[in-house]
Amino acid sequence: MIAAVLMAVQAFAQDGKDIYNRYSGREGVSAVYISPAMFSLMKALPDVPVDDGDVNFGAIIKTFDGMYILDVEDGKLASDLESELAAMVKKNRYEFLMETSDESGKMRMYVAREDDTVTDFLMTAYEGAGISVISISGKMSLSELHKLIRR
Amino acid sequence: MDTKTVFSENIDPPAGLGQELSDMIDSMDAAEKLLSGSRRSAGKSRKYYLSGAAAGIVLSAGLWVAAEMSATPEDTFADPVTAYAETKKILESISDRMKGGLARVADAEEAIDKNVGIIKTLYLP
Repeated sequence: MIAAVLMAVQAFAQDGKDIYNRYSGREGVSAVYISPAMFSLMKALPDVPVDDGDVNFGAIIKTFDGMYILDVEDGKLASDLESELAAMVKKNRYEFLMETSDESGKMRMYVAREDDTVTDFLMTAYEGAGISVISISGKMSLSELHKLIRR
Repeated sequence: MDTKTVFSENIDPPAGLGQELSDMIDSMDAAEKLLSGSRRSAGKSRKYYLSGAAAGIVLSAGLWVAAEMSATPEDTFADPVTAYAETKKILESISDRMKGGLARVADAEEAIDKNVGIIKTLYLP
């Protein structure tokens, strides 16, 4: 019965916020969280003029409604987090976007979208035994994401 | 002193004594069964009570863990200007990583095109 309850809790935990709650505050973990309320306040900030050809980050940031970052140095914790992220990617129907690999490590990017709107962006970077995760939710258009890539 | 008591094997027991004794034994037997049955059911009740208490504890612990995990975290930054600046830095970092990946793709494409050109020069009329 204990195993059944723990398994149910584990299944419930495979959401970005839940994963953040489970890992932030632990030893060897750096965490950043920006809430929907904070992004609402950011929308009220005045637009910063940008030069032609430069990416208007302000316009992109104003489409966000939540972000968290986890930086895990401990190898065992990083391995556990990687497993949870893999399960979350599968459950939430993320699409694989890109993977790069070099001498410093490997990086993967995933997006979840509704038609031409990106609702979730997930980036995982592996360096040594550690892992860094950036998760952004919002309503970003594919064309804005394209500008980020091509800047 | 001689009591002149005579012990004989032929003394008849009082009428009905046998039946009375049999009835008494039956009732004692029944009482014993009743007592042992109630002891067993008391044991069962204790087991059910403990199982229920353990299930309640496990369920409460599971609900508490679930509540903790779904709680809204605290904002890292206290003001939107700082949060905006940090978000912009993160987006720039993501953009740089994406560009790095695509640059390697472009390099690979260029290398492939160059090699295909060499092959065409060597083997095609």
